[in-house]
Amino acid sequence: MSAAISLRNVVKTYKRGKESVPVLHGLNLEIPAGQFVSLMGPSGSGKTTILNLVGGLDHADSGEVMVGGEHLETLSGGQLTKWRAGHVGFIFQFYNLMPMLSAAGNVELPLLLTNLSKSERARRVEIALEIVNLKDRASHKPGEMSGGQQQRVGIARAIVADPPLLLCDEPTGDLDRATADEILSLLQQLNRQHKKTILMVTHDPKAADHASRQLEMDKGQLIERALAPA
Amino acid sequence: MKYFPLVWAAVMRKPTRAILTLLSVMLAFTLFGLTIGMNATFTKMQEEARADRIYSFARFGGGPGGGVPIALARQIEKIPGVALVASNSGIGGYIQDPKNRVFVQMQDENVPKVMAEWPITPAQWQAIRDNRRGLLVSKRQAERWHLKAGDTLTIASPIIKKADGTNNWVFQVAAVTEDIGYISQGYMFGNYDYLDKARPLSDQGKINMFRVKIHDPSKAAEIAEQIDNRFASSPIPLQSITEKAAFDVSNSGLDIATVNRDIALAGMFMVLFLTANGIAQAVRERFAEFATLKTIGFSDRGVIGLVFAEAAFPCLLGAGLGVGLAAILSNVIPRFLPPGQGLPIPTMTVMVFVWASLSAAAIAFVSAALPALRLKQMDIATALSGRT
Repeated sequence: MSAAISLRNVVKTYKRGKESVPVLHGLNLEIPAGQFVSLMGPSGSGKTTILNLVGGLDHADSGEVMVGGEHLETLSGGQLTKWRAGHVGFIFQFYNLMPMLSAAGNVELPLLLTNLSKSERARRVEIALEIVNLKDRASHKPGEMSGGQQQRVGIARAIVADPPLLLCDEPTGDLDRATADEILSLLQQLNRQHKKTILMVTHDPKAADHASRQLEMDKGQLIERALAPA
Repeated sequence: MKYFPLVWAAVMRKPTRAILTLLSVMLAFTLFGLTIGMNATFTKMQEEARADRIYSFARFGGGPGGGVPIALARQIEKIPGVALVASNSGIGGYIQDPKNRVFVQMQDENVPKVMAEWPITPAQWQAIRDNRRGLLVSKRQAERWHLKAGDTLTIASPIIKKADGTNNWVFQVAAVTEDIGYISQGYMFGNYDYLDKARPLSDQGKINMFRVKIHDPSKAAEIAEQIDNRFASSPIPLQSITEKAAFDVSNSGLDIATVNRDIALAGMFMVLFLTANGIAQAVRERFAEFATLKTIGFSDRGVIGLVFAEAAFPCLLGAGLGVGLAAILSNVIPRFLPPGQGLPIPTMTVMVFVWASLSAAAIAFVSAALPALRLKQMDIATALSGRT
């Protein structure tokens, strides 16, 4: 299986005032296409930094970040923006939906960047909402939906343009256990049935258990965790 | 158009704020339309003013119905360079109810020659010569008072009394005539002879103003001075100015055109501060949403375009509605002005609309510039984490 994500000798340091805070020092990571990987670790360990680097939202100080065969460190800001639109779907802890748009309007957002016709966009939105089992709530606004439903809309938005990679930042962090399990099952379904590569940052060991591979950040280094018995 | 729902959602996120902003912009552009429209009228008047005409009137007031002896016309005609002198007087009053104010300019037989560019045919002029009570009513006035040729109307004048002690002036509409551009409310023209012969003997032979036609426009100022000098020591000293000078509002002591422009500019600055504050606040409130848009692939240009569209929406719509309202008011205002006096009203020329559109676009652009710059410099990762 070819590598969907490849990080080699990645170094990232943040500046906080006059102080430099090293977060990643020489990090290496290979994620083959089609894997569902969970990434755990204490706050400030660099989990979200990895997600931002892989998603092209941030640049590494040095090292190589290759995603889907593209060397992200060589791309300009504008090129990264275009690349993100076609290759990555983002799922956020707090859903990050536009409150004034309906569920369908939110899901349609990534498609506005394409040349698809209005009817084709509507068709794809319908399919995405069907996958997340929210077809009947298409006209509802986020304020009229539960947290779980809002996250489903967020997932539909992430998959509507059919990107090969999904990056999830604490996708169940704001949900109760039962709803969280539903969302995680949906992510598993996207991984297994729709062959999406998923990198999920989480604090929740139970959420991590839904992944096919578990990683943990410890002092700037990645450690493979043994999978819990099924 | 596919981005319209996104822009509309942003604008209507705070409906009260959006509506109040729109109303403020609309009112500012109504003021803009009226003031710049008024300047357009002044420009048009100035362009149409003739250089070969001089207006002479009593330097120290004339009294009701005119206080300048018409006999002075013969003396003015003798001044070298003067071609012809026409006189003008008037009857101010009302039709049936004091609220229905009208003003009839009473013209003598030379007016058709001196004011030859007026859209009144020789036959129409002749009609009020043949019938001393004849009245030429312009289309606007005819429409307002529901008059047609042959109708009779009585004007009650509280000031101009007849020799028999009454103050009812009976006219018969001789013709409905074309309007004159700068007499915005329309006009009524009567025969001076009717006024003159009907008044008490002591008031006869008096007029309001002379219109003096000259041969050489380049000598207008010189001839005006000669007229004034000729009557400087008379019981009724005259003051004469060229028509160009009379129609130039900058000669009125207060440069109204500049004042109008300053008022319009002040209104535009008010709208600029209002819109800039509104759009800055809107972007600040939705910074994380813009970060999300950039995360899912909206370019800097795309996000900035949305902000400009959001700023342009109330500006352009408000400008359109405001200037539209100004255009409506321009048609309504004449109803509240005393007619026949030539008081200017705003003219909604194409240029007024063009200036309004350009100003609205400029305001939207300047308002959105700083928030747009902030969005361009946004660090997406930081913004998503809420650490802005």
